[in-house]
Amino acid sequence: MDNSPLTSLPHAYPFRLLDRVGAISAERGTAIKNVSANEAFLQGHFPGDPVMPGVLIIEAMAQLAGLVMNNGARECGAYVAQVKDMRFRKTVAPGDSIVLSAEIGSRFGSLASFTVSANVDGVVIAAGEIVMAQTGGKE
Amino acid sequence: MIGAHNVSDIKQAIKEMLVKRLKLKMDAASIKDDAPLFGDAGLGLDSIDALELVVGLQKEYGVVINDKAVAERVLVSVNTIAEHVSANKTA
Repeated sequence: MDNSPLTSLPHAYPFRLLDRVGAISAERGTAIKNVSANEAFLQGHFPGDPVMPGVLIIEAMAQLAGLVMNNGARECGAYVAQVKDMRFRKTVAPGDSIVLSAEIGSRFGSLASFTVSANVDGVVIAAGEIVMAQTGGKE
Repeated sequence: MIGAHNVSDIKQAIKEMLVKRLKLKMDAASIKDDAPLFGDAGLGLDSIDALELVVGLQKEYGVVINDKAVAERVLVSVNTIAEHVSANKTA
């Protein structure tokens, strides 16, 4: 049985945007998304010029942030509440392995802000801030 | 250092922080000291603004608000924030 934090991810196919999750703590976490030429979204984005949509990079960051928020356990859910100062520096193409990281900043009530970044080959391709809202479970 | 950080200076600074950090479309001068921060009758802030405000108060004044009861007492109006800041500021 796979006990990795990835099994705690509430997202399922075809919207699981993390392939492997590294260490998850209550403060930070890392994960990898390997982008394959077979990704459904690359069929139309764009024909003959496959580029991973920036919003899906944000989604991958948010999925990781949700795991950190729940400390790798599936006790609560988390929704995206705000995306701030997100900047995309390079495009992501099939074959790229995106290394994601999320670090919790401030918490208030059910909200937590995260500094997030995505790297390909050691280069930052996207970075910004995401606020997540915890849902359900214990307060 | 009387007057360097009196309550009315703090109120003015808090109004400016509200407008700047929360990107409010109004002048700091038009915010009333006792206007409710949340709800349509006042500034209409939401919980995400509250998080931003808590971060701002910590950065600007070293005032940490992580207790729900304290938040409900302090995050009411410019008056209540200024009172709490002047009593607890470390920066």
